[in-house]
Amino acid sequence: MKITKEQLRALLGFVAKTADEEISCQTCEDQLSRFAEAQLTGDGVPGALQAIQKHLEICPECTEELEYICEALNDDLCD
Amino acid sequence: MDDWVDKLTRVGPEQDAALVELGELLKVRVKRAFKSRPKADSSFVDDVVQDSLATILASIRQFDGESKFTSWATTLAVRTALRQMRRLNWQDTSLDQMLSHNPAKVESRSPSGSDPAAIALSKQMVESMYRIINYELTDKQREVLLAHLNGMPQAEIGRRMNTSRNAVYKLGFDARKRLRDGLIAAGYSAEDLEAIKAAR
Repeated sequence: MKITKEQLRALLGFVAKTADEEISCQTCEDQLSRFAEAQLTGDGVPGALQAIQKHLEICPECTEELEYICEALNDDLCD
Repeated sequence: MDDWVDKLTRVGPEQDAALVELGELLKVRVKRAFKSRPKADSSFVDDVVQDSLATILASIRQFDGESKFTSWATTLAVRTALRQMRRLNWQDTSLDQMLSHNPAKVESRSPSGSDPAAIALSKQMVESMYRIINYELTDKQREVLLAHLNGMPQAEIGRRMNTSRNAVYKLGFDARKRLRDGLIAAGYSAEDLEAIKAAR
């Protein structure tokens, strides 16, 4: 198979951001509601969630999930 | 701790009322989140909320109180919806079909750009990358990496490989690490990768 230019660019990005240790999607998922709240309330990402931020940079699936969670919570978070 | 947990873990009318209330809230939120997705009609949302309520009750002891209970419950509902959508979107695609029946061979592409030195560096590095993909990754690592590049979700890759999503993540992580280490051994830095990525 051929890798397209876009795929190659994405792969280079993923490889460049690969660390020796990363959290898994499962670990990220466990913290996503807290992460989404921090984003939506403008509190910024607490130090304890920096690993989530790193994971999101290399995981399109968790990033997509976070986007939908933020959309779902957006109007109600301050209720 | 949110009193949702208290209400939802009491068997009886109070639990029933809490489930109805939570279900209504989740419907509103799931509808809002997926409003731009044509497949997310009322029937889809109802099914997602029913499945989510069952998941929430089954895993309620895992709620750690670090977020609002309703944020946690919404997260589970969004995850349920996304998994169902991803499964529907990929149900007719096999790994073999996606990888053109030949995952062991990735064909090289010519770099673009106008700087001859940058093109040469980019070409050498990409050739190193293809060599690692074709000859240094395991078959499973290569399959996961290429399926991921084609956009297939990890849960769907796992379903086709008869393994868990976490195992798929680990295969992909090992593949990326092998690529990174191979490129570093060939003399390229993470900065080179970023520069070449930007130039291509």
